[in-house]
Amino acid sequence: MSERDGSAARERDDAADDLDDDALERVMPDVPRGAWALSGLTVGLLLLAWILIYAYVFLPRGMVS
Amino acid sequence: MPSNEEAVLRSELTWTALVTGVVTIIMLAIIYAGLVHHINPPSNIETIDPKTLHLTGEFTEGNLGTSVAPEGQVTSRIVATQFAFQPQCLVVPANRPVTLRFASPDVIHGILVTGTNVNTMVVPGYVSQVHTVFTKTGDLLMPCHEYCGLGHSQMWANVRVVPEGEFKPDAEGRATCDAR
Repeated sequence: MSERDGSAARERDDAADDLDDDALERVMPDVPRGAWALSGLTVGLLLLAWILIYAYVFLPRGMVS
Repeated sequence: MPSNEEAVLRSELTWTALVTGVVTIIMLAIIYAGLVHHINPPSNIETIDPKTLHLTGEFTEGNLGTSVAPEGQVTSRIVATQFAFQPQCLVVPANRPVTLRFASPDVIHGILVTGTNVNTMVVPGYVSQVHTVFTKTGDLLMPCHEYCGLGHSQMWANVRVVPEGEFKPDAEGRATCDAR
């Protein structure tokens, strides 16, 4: 990496630091919503797949003991 | 706005409740399948001497395959050995209770019958027993599903499910794939 590129990267990092605490405070409550949406969707789909296989594959295959 | 700690705690409690709900749903479904549909894991505990099972008792060659007791109970006896099932084809009637009994003289094997819930391990020293009712007719593949050595992939048998009217055991109550 050249000297110029390095300083450009530093300038971008500095730009990120320009966020004030208030702005950060405002945005932080929204951050977990994405995690909730992703994890909820994943667990929901997994449970749905389990229920579909249970109802349409496992039960129709009949008794065993 | 709640503090960060409160938000984390609330999030963790919500997830705990959610996972408890999911596990409860799955447990209730398993209990329902067991009580209403009689789908339970095979749990027979019965020992047998693997060194002599081919010499005496129910797993001698003449006893293998499907037989019908005088009271009508259909039982199939199979020896799972490296790397074949003996016999390689079983004939059983559809829509009648069937008992499958397995024994191994060598290493651990396992069986499943495709398209059914029949699935068990066959452990040397024990008799594996599965009760079931086959509802669909046709040839069902029964492979060994527990790696048992280099020939494992060649180890499979057929379960031939025939309509009840075509299931004709001989005078001694024995039924084979050749004669049905």
